[in-house]
Amino acid sequence: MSAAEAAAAPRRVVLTGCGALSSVGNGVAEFTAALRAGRVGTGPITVFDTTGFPSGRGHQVHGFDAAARLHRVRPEHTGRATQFAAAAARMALDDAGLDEAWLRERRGTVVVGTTDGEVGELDLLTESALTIGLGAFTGAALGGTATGSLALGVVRELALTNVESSTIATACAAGNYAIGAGFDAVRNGRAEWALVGGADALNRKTFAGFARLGLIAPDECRPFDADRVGLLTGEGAGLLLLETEESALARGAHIYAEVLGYGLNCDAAHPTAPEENSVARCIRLALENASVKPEEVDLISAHGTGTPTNDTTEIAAIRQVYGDEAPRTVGIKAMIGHTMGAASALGAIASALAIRHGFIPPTANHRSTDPECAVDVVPNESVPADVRIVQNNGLAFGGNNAVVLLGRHEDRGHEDRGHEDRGHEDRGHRSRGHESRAHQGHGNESPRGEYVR
Amino acid sequence: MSTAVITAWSAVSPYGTGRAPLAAGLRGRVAPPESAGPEEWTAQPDATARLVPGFEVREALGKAGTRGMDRLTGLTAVTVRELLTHETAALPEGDLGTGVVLGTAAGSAQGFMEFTKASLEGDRPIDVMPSKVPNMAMNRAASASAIRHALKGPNTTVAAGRLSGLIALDQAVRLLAEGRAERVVAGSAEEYSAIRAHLTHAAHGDALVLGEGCVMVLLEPGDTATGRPLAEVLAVHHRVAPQGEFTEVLTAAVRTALAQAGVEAESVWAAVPGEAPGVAGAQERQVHEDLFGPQVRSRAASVALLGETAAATGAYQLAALLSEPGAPGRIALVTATDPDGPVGCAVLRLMTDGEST
Repeated sequence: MSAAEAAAAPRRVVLTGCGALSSVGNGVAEFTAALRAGRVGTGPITVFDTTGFPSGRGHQVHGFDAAARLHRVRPEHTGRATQFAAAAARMALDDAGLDEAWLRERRGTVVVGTTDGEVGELDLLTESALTIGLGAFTGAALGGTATGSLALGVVRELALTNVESSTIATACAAGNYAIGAGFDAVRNGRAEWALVGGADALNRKTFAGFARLGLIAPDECRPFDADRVGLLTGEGAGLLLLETEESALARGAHIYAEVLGYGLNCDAAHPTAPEENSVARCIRLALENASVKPEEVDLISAHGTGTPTNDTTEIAAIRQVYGDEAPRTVGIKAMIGHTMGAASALGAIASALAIRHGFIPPTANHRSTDPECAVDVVPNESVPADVRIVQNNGLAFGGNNAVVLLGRHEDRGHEDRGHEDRGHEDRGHRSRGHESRAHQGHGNESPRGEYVR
Repeated sequence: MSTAVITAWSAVSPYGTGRAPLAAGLRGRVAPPESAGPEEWTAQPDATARLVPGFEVREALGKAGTRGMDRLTGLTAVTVRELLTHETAALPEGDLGTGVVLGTAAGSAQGFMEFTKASLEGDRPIDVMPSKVPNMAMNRAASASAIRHALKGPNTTVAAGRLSGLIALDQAVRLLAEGRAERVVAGSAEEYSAIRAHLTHAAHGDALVLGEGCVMVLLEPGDTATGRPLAEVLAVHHRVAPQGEFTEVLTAAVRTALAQAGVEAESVWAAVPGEAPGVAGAQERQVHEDLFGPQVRSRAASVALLGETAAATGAYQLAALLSEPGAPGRIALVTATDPDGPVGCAVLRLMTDGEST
């Protein structure tokens, strides 16, 4: 970066557009309605043949018409994960009230997180090579199976050039890694906007791996439940449009939330199992980076895979930081499945929607909370709540942790220009003005403790 | 804000394990020999490439924790071991820890496809090797390196084709600038495999000789570095040429990077292109001819010596600069292009005489 850029004061970064593809709905309106309703998107997987697997259930995206959603990227030449990333980016752009020309006039950054990239294309190539041999390898396959294809798909779809683009393959924490990269770039003036998030598509390879480890639930994913037995693989994309507060206010954009900060670390301990102290350390890094005290956090959107080990470890880490007064902690994977690299990006969007619309999405499929997960998981039904600050967790294989903090945007110096005057449906909560965050309680709307045995 | 400095580097390359064989080979402008590829699914008996000689993961790293580990992870983990053993064994671990940023193209395509093959061909579709499951996360190489050396900082795996090494460098510099790590081990890696050979040959022609390997550098903040600075990272800038207009977009990227570094094109001592196959590489060479004289273009070794090294290329370009003798203070530049569109440039100030490596 140049000396001039380095000298500039850090800028506030806000989220003004969301694009979501998931098993419970495509587009931010459907996604919001589903989260509020506690809808569960489980169904039979049809994108690959699940014959012979113990279970063929998962969270597949339905009703995704790539040709209708994409203007430039040609679906027939493009893998499913890249299609998802490009379509969700366009959705986020539209949702932000922006167009391609606005992006092109400014330096930007595109960072897409993923676990598998275009492994689905490699699955198809494997089948093809087993059938026809080396003729399966065509000239387009190298680029079509490259992981960098996801971010490039966004760039191509929006016809951008003065943009830095990369795909982050930090497994199931990748969405938060991408959001963090975009946050830093915009905050420090390297970019005027960022399109960041994550995308992954269901594929045989990853399904077989989780099934082999016995981590796939036979019926539903039940985060934090005493009887949880595993996860359900899912697919989808979450893309977020970030820009400076100054830019958003100048153009009268509706602001979902402010990105307050984030933390990254690595357990450096075990290839697949999480480590409590290290997850707690990552939460503390994020809180410190965001200048947020634990008591100011109203909600945690947990990684919450529904596997026995993850949930126990994650809650123990949360309680290590928050003590017995942990904020309500929800696992939206019960509704949308484990969308891998998209998971923490969709979690961040859910967090922003909680702030914007004043409700807490539930932990669905819940029967009784595991005593080892002693927090209010907001079972089965969403609750209205005044949500000001949300912690969004992403934990990955390899001990990679990434935690993002989002907060309600406090329109300092613009008190008359609140969010509620911009024609959105939610009028269910009053602004709490500029009271200290520390004075906000966690609300009493939910049956706190009822499910904690 | 201080800039980041490279205070150590190491490699596993077709010249052998460690920094010295690579530095000597590049300085001597001698291409490493070709050898036969591993016996694996789809391997052709007569296929050769510029492989890391005799590299076997479990021989290189020992038996502990390496069962099923893929070649890409092995190459990376050995490079990180060489880097930390020889240069920084006594470094204190600060609160933020040491980060890892690794550039890759697509993880281990061979490993992924063999896993799927096992699922398709087994008696049951879950008859895959459990020891291979950790490989299925594309961050295996970065996280396994962290596990082996207790590197508890941010741990990023970044994929951007042939830009991967350059972008890994950029991400590492940013992590340091933002105070998110005490130090960062950054670089990029590529494994040779039969599958990668088929994919590459189908895209760029059968004549292309593949290479493999990994180069990692240790980056520290300039004002708190404990190691002797070998190079200062002055600027990294990258863009995309989505329509294949590499000349125009790369020229803009180079000019922007030079401006951010505060140096003129005339003061560049050495310029090292990424040597991409096809039109991307041809246009990249044209940009270098337009901007730099023949001496500047030939001062450092060409990474073409190593064969087509895909995601590892950017890190090899850094190695070519760090290996080249000359007076401290030289300004050097690398560019990268990817046939799929990304282009970029990094500008460095070399602070070593290049001989002591």
